[in-house]
Amino acid sequence: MTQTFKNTLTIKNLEKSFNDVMALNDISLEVQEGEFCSLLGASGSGKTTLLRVIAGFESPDKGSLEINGRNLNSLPIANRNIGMVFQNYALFPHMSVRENVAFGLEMQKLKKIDINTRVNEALKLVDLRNEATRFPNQLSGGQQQRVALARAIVIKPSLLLMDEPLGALDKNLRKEMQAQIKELHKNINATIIYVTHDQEEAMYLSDRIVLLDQGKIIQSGTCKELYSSPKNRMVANFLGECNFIKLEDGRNITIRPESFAVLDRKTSENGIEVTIKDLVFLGSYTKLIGSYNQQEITATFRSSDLNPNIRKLDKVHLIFNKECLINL
Amino acid sequence: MYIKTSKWSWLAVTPMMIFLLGIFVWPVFSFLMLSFGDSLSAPSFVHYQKIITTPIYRQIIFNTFNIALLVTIFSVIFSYPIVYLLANVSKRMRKFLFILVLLPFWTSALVRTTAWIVILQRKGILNEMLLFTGIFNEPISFIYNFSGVLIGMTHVLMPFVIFPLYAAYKNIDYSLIEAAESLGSKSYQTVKRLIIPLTMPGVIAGSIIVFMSAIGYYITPALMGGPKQTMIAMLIENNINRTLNWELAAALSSVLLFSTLILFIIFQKYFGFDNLLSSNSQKGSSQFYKRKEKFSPSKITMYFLGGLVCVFLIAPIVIVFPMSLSASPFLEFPPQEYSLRWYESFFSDNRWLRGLWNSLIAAAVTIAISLPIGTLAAVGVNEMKRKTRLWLETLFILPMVIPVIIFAISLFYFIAPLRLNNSAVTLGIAHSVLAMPFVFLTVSASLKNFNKNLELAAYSLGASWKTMFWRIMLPSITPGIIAGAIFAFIQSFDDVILALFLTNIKSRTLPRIMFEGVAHEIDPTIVAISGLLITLTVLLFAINALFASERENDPNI
Repeated sequence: MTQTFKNTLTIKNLEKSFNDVMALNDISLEVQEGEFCSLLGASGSGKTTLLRVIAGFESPDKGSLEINGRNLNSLPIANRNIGMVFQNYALFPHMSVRENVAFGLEMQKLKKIDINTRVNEALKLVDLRNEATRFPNQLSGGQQQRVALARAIVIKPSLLLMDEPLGALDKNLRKEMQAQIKELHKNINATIIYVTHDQEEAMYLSDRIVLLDQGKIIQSGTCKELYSSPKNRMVANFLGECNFIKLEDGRNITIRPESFAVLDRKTSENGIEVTIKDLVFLGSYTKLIGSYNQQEITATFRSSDLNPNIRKLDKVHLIFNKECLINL
Repeated sequence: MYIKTSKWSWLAVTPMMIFLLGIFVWPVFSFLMLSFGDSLSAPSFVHYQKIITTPIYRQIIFNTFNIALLVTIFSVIFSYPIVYLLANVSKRMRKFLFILVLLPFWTSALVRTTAWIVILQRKGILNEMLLFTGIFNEPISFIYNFSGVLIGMTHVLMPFVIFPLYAAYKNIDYSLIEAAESLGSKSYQTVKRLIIPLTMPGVIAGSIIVFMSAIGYYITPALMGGPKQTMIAMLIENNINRTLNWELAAALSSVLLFSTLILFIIFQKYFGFDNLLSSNSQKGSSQFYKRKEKFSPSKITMYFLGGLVCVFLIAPIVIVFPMSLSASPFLEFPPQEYSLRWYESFFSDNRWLRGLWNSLIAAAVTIAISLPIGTLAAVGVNEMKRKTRLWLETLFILPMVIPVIIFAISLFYFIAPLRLNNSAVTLGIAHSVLAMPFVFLTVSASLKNFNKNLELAAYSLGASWKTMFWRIMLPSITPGIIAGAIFAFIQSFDDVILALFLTNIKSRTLPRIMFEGVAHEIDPTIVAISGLLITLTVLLFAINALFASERENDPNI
């Protein structure tokens, strides 16, 4: 299955609006072969629209889409050979698991034997061989999700698109499915574009994250790049938590909660004195919420590192390294 | 529970139960028993044997099922394009199209049949047009034969397929279609593999209703068919009125009733009759993405076909108006000269006016009886346990299902010796049986939409059941009651079959006089009356829409 997946997607100056609302504004993006690329953003940011334009469900007003240099714009959906996993799975309710997975191959008019072999292969890949004769309403959410995956990859698409595929699952199952998707990506080495609003999920899965807001790409890069050098406050806030503090000397600093160390006395180093408003024990780490010059500061520490005598309303010093500050 | 409602609810359904058992179930049962001969202790089956052994009877039964089957097939085929159209046009256009579908549905069968005869007869509009184009040299016989029956009946019964099919089509999650397309499915493959299988339940539901109604049809085949298209209902009528063979009529009725009931049971088991009237309120897919597609050849074809079906549905209704305004003593279209003479002739003829008066009396009696009893029954049933409810519901909608001709003859059998047929009040009481299920269903539907928590909130604020009913429940089910009243009126005002058996020359109603006229020869006064009746239907529609406007604001409709 490997070689067919290896494709590069090039998007140039894409624009799309619905009733005068710009859903996509000058989007340019290149997704490398075998790359796992997440489109991350709040609802209404345009991430789903971008995915739907790539799939061909919406046609762009301007701009071009290419796979390996081949223009997609005028290609009908049915001929794009793009695998899609829908948010609600969109499994055909009147077909069994096997029939669902076979559908795309039947559309290609393959021989029965070949279809069977490939369906079996795909079902094995998602560990659903025993459920082949069941119908979608007889499956659990996680199983339905895997059928949707199998159905999309069995046609050996040039691109695999996933639209918040784990949105309907509960938290534990999500974690499990995330691991499976990551594993699958490694196995079939597919080029995947994945839409999500969950930054943790995006960071866990992706080689690259594309952050969208109001139809524009705000920043694109590896998880580390986005986390350690966000382009602006919005990016800094979207991936992980962030403090934006105005110091007494007038300087503004941006710092992640985990970049602080706590001391109960003043030192000459960089530091701020805060009054503890709350201490929240969250298992392996503890969250300190304090106030500094009427600003709320959040800091996290490993629970084991924290002095057990610290109490609410205590005054402590939060110190930080200059290297840990984020430059905006 | 918070309040003891079980006693109340039984009290509420009792009037409807007694009414239906006394005026509907018992007469029908007694009449059917005639088929087994005089003594019940030694039932005879000679009449059933006669039906089986006489070729002409076998032929008529075969005819009936054959016609019903073809009407069902045509209804399904014609429904797809119009449903496609309904699903794809803008919201406003959809409302308009719904009116196009509903208007003929609620227009009197007689008016529709009259209009079709005017259009299709040898010197009718269609033939004149065809001759004018020069494609044909002589007129084609569209009516008084097989095609006449098919056209007339498909026209009436099609909406029974359109509504459930539309509901099923609307419920298809659009992402399924996108999924199929992304997997390489061409549009014809999507239709074959997705649309048709997914809409099948709706189609089957509608088909059963159409078939079930069609086998009991009387007016349309009687007026638009020829001798070869005699159906069971006509044979039954013939045995009562001409050959006076009551026992054979009862045996034929039993055969017809048995077939109807089997279909009804199948339908109830899998679909449920009460969904039919409220099919509009079913929830559509939450994300109804509309893609702006370019016009593809297949789309244009479907639009064109859908448009043709619309024309088919509405043409007879529309054509009646200009024709009724003609000054000519003959039917002509388009009229050379306009006048109101045929309307005048209606309003100055005592025969027609007495018919109108009788119709109004019957309708008033129908509403007066069916509205309170039906509403009460709906409220009572609503409080009951599921199982009891299903039984009662089945009894309460039975009058909608059983062929009217059987009910008419059964009542005739009861009433004739009592000489009660000289009053329109009698007819009104009989009409109440037909109307009550409609009141029951419309009120039940609005009770279903009634938020149970409102009731509980009223109790928690200290209201008694009585106070809650008058101040909370009744105001919110008023649209249902008004719709029920309108249906009741239409049921009574449009009825021909009961009037044929239960009225005499003094008490006959407008539709009966029209029927006698149409069966003989259509004179322009009948067309004028048709125009008036259509106007009345439209008016009633508007009233209903006005009161239901709150419900219509529901985005799912």
